[in-house]
Amino acid sequence: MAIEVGTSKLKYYWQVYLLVALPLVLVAVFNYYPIFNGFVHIFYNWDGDMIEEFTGLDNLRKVLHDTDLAKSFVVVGVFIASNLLKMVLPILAAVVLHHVINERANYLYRLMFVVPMVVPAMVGLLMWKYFYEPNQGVLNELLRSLDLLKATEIIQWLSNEALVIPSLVFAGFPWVGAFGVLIYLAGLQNIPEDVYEAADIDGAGAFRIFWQIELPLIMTQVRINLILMMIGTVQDWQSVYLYVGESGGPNGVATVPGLLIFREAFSRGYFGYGCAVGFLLFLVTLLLTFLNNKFVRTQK
Amino acid sequence: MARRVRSKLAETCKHLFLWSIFLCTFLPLYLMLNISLKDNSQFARNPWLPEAPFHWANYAVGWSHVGDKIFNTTFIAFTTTGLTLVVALLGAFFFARYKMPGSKFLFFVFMLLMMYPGVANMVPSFKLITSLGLYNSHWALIISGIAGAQAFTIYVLRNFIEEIPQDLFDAVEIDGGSILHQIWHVVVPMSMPIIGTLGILSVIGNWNNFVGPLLYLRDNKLQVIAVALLHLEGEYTKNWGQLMAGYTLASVPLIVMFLFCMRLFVRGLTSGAVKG
Amino acid sequence: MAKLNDSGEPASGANKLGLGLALAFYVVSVVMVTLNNSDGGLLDRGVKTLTVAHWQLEDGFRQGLDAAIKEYERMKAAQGVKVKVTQTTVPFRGYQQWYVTQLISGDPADIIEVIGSSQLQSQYFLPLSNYIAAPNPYNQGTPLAGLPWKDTYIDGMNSALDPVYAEYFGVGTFFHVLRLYVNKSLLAKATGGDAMPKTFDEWMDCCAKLRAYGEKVGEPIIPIGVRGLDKATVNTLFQRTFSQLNGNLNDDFPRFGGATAPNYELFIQMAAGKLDRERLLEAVDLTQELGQHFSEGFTSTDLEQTKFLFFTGNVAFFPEGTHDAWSLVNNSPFEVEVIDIPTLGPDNRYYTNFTGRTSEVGVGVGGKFGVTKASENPELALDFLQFLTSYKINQMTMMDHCKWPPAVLKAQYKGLLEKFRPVEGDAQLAATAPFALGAKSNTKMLEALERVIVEKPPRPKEYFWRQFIANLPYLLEESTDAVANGERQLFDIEGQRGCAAVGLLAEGLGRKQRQNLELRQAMGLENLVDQARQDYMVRQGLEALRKLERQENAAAKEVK
Repeated sequence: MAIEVGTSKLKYYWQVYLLVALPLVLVAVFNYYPIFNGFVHIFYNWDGDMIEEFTGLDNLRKVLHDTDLAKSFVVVGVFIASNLLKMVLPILAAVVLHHVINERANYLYRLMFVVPMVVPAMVGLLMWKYFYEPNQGVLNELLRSLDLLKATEIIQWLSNEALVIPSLVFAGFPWVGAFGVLIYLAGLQNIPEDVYEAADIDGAGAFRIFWQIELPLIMTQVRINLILMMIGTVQDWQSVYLYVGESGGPNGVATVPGLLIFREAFSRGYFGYGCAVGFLLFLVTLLLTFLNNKFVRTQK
Repeated sequence: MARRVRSKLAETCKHLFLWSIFLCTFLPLYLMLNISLKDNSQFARNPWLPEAPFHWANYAVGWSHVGDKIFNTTFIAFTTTGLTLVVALLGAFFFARYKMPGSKFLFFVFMLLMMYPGVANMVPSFKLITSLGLYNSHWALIISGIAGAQAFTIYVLRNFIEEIPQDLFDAVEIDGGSILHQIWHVVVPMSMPIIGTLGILSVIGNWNNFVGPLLYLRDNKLQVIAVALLHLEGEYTKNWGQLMAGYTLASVPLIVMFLFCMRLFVRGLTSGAVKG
Repeated sequence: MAKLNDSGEPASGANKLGLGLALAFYVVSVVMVTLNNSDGGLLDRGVKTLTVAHWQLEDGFRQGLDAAIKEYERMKAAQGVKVKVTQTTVPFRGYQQWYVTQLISGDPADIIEVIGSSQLQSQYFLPLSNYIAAPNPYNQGTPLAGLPWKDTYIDGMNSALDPVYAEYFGVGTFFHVLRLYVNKSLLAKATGGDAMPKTFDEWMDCCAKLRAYGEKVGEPIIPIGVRGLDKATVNTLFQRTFSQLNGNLNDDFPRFGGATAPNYELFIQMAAGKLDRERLLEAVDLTQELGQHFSEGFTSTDLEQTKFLFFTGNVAFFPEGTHDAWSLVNNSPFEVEVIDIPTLGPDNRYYTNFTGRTSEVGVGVGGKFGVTKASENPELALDFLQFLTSYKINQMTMMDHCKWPPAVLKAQYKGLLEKFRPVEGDAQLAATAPFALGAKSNTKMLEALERVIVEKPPRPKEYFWRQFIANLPYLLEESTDAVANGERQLFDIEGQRGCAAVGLLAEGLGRKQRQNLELRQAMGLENLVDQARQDYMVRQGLEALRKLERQENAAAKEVK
């Protein structure tokens, strides 16, 4: 369908390259140049401004010996594990929604899933921060009204070393982002009627239908979401920053690699080290993508 | 989807389940609206239920904090989205309609970017933007936004454009239409839904972006909603009513925009974009 | 061109309306944004702009600065110079990052509140020593006229002096002292009278009455609200009490002609057994007594929560810095009285060792604002700073608006601010308790104090001493770091002297420049000697700490 242009016809068609020139230049300058520049500066002690001295493998050695960095990966691991569990609810919600018979209710529900997504993410996060606020926040107020907390007592959800990571994990309950739900719903809607009729004839119960028909058929979407989730969680640091600031919480226990880069580079001025950790994150993402390709492509 | 109604009980359970989820998702919104009309003493007494008198003045104060920033954010989000779509459309057209020497390589160049974590580029990008003299200006965000969105947008658009029947293009070519003519009269009308969806996604994404503004915008008056709300939350004396009014005002533009485009959005989301 | 949606129907009216609205809103935004940046427009008309960046979001500060800005712009316009000054702020939480990124970007604000290392400051901020030595032109006609700018400050700009470079990279604008905020009505209800406690024991008495009152009415009344976590008040209160009982240390053991006894000197004396340990630990005993009136779980309370509890009328006494004064006095639904934190009186069991109230002179001046090297209008920025820290304006911004003590000498404290006047006169210089050296050991000392309060050991002094000995490894670590830092400091200072020496070799130096460089060299030499002496003392201190550890471990073994 597309017009094939061999090298012979090039002199008539060369203007076509202009079409792609603009995006290409933008991407080359604003994406590729920083990538290479960043890679080069791994080997430098760079403060982003005047100091730029070649230090060889110093930064890489520092990366390997940095306990804070190692701990931040552990935190990411915790987040990935919890995000895995958090994937269950959207799937469940999509399935339940799919089975709602009333058409109008169905449409209404789909709408209601999407509305919270349009509220700016920052507002959502700040509302949850308010939930966790020690003096007047919702959670503590609730506990107080249930008499589980005395009137002058508070629980420091975000300032207590032991509580901060669970609080970050729990935030955003019930974790039904409209993206997940609607995508799974679309997948479910693709299931042909005959399959359901066959199942009915077999006398299959609702649970069996879910487990043996619906789940496998939306597995592709689930897998895609899974890999996107993992890659996303490895990179995500904005929510941690929002809740506990650049220090990463009490004693920095909730620091994630992205936050570490942000802090080391833009607060402490260690640009070279920031590049090194960034490169490490790139390798991790590469690894995850590679594993995903091996894992997902096997069953299509 | 006519299927045997299993039982009233099962149906009610499904509805209950969904409503309990909605209760949790809408609770923050309800609280936000509720508190935005209270003053501090009403809030201290009872943050849960509405209480007269309603302090609409909170919104005036909220606007004074957040108003300008809404304009800044709109400017950045819409400009970035508009330009991203225009630029990406050209690129996608190139990849969809022509197989030129080097096409494959160029496409690979774009696709490779989708794999690179943005986080790793934070540091050198900062250096680049400041060297170009774009620090403390909206264009830093706009241009880096356009560049960053190219890979995904071109990918999605290309898939869509490839599906457009050849005859439509032939018709225009016979009439002597140039490439740009083809794009404007064939591609754009046919791809409206996907362009709409991509546009909305881009606007929402830009609206929510706070790392860029955090790094590149120095002055308060240029600042974006996301960062402004964050700073507001960091004030020492918090007037919760005014704060929540600010949050509400910050949400209004997107909600309004969404109300108009919801059909488009929901459909686009569940069909075209998913094929990626 | 027909707009079709994916099912082939023409786009609905709603969608078209939505698109139209969105476009209209966008156009409005473009207009607003361009108007916002109309500084660009102003620039054409020869208007100079200054941006002031800081993190002081407390009640009244920004308003005070705005008032000063208006005054300045008006005054300058009358002189025919068009100026526009804008404030831009960020909460303290995000300040470090915002500050560093600004400086690195090459386009920072003209005037910024200065933080960070000496190296960072010298890299990005204009050195001000030449201006510091000359009088502030805006002080003409005031009691401070003719004085060098430096000498118009209550601390002679000492806290703004950078030790490494012997240079001033900024000037301060305010200072803070610690006071006690009292919920008057609550106290009256509990004690049945209006009297404020004047001595420590009277204070304890009031607290006991408050507790009894709380039990009587069945409400959670906290006599003294403190904050735990970082910057804990417990540490400060302990230090104050210590200083009142051990001010003699400054007289007995000063070193190198200084006015106060350095920490390391005290360690040396402790290891040599020359100090009265019991006397040193008396403050611990008193802190335990004080701590009984803190709230339960005070160790994990932060400032926000304590303030909140104060506002809701659950806290009677709140020791806090004057930076919160106005918000506390203003926002409380009851009357708030501000008093000095009660000192030990003759009714106290340790009064025989009382050496006097602690002086507040020489408390550091804060709010250090500097001019960036990359500024486009450095002279104007400096002019503004001089204006801001002049006698009239500094008092106006600080005292009229945010109710903070101003940095200038001979300030006229009126009204609420009367209570903030720094304690001086017959007061003693503060003596620092020799139980901590750096951040880590400070935290450990705080933990020890907290345990003394919470666990109520029967012999608190001994308990605390045991804790101190157990924490010696941290002090040793910090001392070793201090030795290394000291050496680094020596290199830095010598580097400065070297630069001055190279400068002196330049051709065509004017007389003033030559004098300046020679002065730099001389100051550098003084700093060098000072630093070397410090290093020597630190090394001795390190030895003393090790000796102390050995002694105590040996003693512990004997007891077993």
